[in-house]
Amino acid sequence: MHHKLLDLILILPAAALLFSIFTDVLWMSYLQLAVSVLVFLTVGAIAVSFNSITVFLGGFFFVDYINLVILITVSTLELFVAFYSFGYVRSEIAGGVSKRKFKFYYFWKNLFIFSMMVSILSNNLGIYWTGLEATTLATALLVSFNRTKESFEATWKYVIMCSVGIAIGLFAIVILYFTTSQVYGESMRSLSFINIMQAGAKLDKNFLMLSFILALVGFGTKVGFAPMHNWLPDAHSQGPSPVSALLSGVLLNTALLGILRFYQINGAAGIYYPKYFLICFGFLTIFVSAFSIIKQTDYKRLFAFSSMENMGIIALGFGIGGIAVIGSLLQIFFHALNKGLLFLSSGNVLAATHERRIDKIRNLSKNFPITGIVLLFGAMGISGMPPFAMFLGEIYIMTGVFRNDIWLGFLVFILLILVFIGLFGKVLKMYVGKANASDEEEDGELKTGSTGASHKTVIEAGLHPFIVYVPLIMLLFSSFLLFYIPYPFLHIIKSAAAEFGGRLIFK
Amino acid sequence: MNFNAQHLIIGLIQFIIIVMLAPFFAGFIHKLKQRARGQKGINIFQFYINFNKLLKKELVLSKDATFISNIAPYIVFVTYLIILLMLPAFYRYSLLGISSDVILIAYSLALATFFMTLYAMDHGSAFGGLGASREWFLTVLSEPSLIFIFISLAIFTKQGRITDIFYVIQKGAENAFLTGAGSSTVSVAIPFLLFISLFIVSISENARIPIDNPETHLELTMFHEANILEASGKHLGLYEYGSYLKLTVFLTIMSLILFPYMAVNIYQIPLAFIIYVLKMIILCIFIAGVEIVNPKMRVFRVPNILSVSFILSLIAMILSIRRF
Amino acid sequence: MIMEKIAELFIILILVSVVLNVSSPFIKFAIKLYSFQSLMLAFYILMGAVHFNSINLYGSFAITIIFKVILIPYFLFKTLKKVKMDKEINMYIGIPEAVVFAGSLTLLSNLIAQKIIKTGITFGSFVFTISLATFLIGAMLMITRKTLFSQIIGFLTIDNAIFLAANSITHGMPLLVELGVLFDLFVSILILSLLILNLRRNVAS
Repeated sequence: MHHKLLDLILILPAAALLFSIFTDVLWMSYLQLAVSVLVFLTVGAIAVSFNSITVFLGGFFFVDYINLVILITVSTLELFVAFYSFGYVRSEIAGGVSKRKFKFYYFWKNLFIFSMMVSILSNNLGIYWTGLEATTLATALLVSFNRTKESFEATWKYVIMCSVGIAIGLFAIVILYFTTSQVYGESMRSLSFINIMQAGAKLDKNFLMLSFILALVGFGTKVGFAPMHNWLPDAHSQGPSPVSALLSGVLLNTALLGILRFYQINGAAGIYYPKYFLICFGFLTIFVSAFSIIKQTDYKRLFAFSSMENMGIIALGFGIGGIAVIGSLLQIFFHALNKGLLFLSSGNVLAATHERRIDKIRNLSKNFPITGIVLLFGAMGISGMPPFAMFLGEIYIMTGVFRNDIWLGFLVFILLILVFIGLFGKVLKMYVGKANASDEEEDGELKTGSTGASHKTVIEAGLHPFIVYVPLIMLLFSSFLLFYIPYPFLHIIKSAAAEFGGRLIFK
Repeated sequence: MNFNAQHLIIGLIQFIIIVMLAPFFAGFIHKLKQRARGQKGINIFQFYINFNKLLKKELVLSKDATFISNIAPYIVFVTYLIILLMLPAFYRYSLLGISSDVILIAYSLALATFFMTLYAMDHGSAFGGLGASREWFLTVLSEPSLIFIFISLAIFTKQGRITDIFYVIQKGAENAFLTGAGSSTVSVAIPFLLFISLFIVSISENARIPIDNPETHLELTMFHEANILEASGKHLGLYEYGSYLKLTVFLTIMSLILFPYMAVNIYQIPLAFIIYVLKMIILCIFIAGVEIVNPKMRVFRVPNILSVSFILSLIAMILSIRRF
Repeated sequence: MIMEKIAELFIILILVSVVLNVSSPFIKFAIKLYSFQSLMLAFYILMGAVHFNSINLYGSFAITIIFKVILIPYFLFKTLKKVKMDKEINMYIGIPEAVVFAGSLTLLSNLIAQKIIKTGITFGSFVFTISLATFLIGAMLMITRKTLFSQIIGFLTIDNAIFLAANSITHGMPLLVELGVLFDLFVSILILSLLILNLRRNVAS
């Protein structure tokens, strides 16, 4: 594999960042498409030809199986989001939003993607930290994109909580650095992930354990683990839909990567009890989010809580180990895809109706024929129903959990059913539900924004075709992946799982 | 400690010198403040003259006054004298050094306050009760930090008597700076914390400006003055002199924390005395500076600053416990 | 030996400034205290730099001075002037209680530090105690105060605590990483100031 190819993953988003400063918005949307496609193809080429850990750019960056999974996830979702943004920008500009604002949108989005790439690919934990904090800052102004009071408050909460969380993560890195500098001396090598993994059992176990706990709490804030999750539903529901999709789909995984790195280091040093912490936090997160989903009244917040729940499931899978790790790795990818389509299509509803409450949105089947069906099936997919790929990930994880502890499996299963009822029931109501009394129907009609036309008007027709059909394609892709997973991807997943001691074969 | 004649004589001389100097320090602070405000200022020895005049004046007591009014000023004055007898200002063997336990010093200070407030209430005037309750409000808040300061000093040096405590610190510092050898009784952080804490406490106990302003007689701002509003003649003189002595007690302890240098033999006494007076003058300038810079604080903000003093002394205590 | 003691003084001044911060309801004073605290941190790093003669630490000293002592307080003051915010901070608990709570947090961190040090390698346990206490008190500042500015101050205090720990248990992180961390911190302060301005404008209108 060529090193140039690897460099390209970082160079392309940086180039897009530069373009976004100088280029007009409409041109930028074409350029963005080109860059995203190129990034996707580059990552694809790397994935196909990948065979061993490769270090590039002076040893500061590297690719292994685990970050390759997340890299594939990011590039795939970013491709869809770029197409969606193409339509989104046009329909918003047609709706009266200034072009200058969207210039900022592209600038911050590319900065976000770039810093996320830096953070995912970094071999050096210090650089990982810097990149992760940079993602918080880059997305801060995207979350407050609408400039309402709610969005500013959400951003405030987001930046403060995540910054403090990541500061705790820095503490973890400091302690890890102290531990590894006993072996390598005080240099950049002591922060290099590959070197730390090689040092393995030579490291002091108490300090490794302490650093893992701090990292779990610190980066866990950014993943949205249960006691530190307050910011997540607000921040994810306030941003523009493409940003919400990226935040929920891939940024959470980037933060999770930090915890996984610390988990791996502990594993290499022969410490096995961190997995109980992961199981604990995972279960707690599922528990809290399941009950939050049931009483939710805002559909974007609903999906944000669902992201939280899925991160809980993924963490649980990594904690359980064995076959569940494969499930978790698959889930990282599938969840990004599925959550992306949910946020994008709900963004269409929001853009057309300017209404966030679930009980104000009715009769999607008539007003939004395609978006409505995508939302309905997407909600089905996100709760792990069969015709969609997330079923695969969840079945692996649940198998692992049941094999590990039947009572835990039982509890998680009940919680998953609750999530299904909450999510699917609410979206179903939005899809087929009718407003009760006739006067309320008129009211609802006004709310849905049709200007004096009869209620058979298909509001969706006014939307740009890209933003209608991109989520549909994502849905079809997700369904397709259930039946056929490309071999290189499966190979990467299996190899990544092997690094956590996971395997497909039952013993 | 051996009781020989030299210790007795020098201890007595030390005591007399401190007592004689007390009004000078108070006058010095007062003068500095006045000069900073652009006034011509009092004679620096004015407080001696005042005391002399007050002793000659007629004593008036309220008709409700009981025997407490007759004994309280003397008890207050004598208590401060006894504390000064214990303190090793510039000579290591003070006259009452053998019984100069830190707890005793802390509670002797409280005893003096107790009798002063009893005197205030004994006269049966409204201001007396008001002053007494305000005085205790301050004392209750500053007492814990005072106790903690003393206890952390005791833990830090593993000594109970104030003479021994500062002698141990002095020895440790001497060793460290002359020979470069580290020892467990050398610290910069702990004395620093104690100094700040004690400074805040002495500001509040001595009725200095951010907390109290004894120069005014407004009923809203009075703390200390309300207690001795009814006192006249000899009693007032004793109280005034008592307050100078109290100030000297606090300043001396602060000067010892700041830079402990005590003479152990007769030849070191001149140097030790000069250093003592210099330290005291520096502290006086410091206090005058604080009084000039700050406005008087609202009463309900006083707990804030006193709680800081308490916590700093607590932290000092934690740190000194760690030394074991 | 003497150097160690002076370094000790700088460390204790960091803790004193945090306690003073808890005791004061004024935002301006809090920002000044933060600047002072960072200066003490910088001096502590400088002592280390002189002692170990390490270029890394000299660089760390310089960037700490530039970012933490000058730039961040400057922008905070600027924002404060623009916002014309009330000078008094609203609190959920009274100041004396908060100060006493801060003291008990110091006690707690002393206990934790001793536990950790018993089990593992001993390093500057004194500095570790102080940095842990500063960390916890910073978190307390964030939780107990309602004003947005004091949340920023709390966050910055937490950050200083981590820097103190990083410079005490190791000889500072690699300079590149430290630069990245400080730059991120600086940008986050800018963004938070921007948010404060916007939030105030929204409340006002």
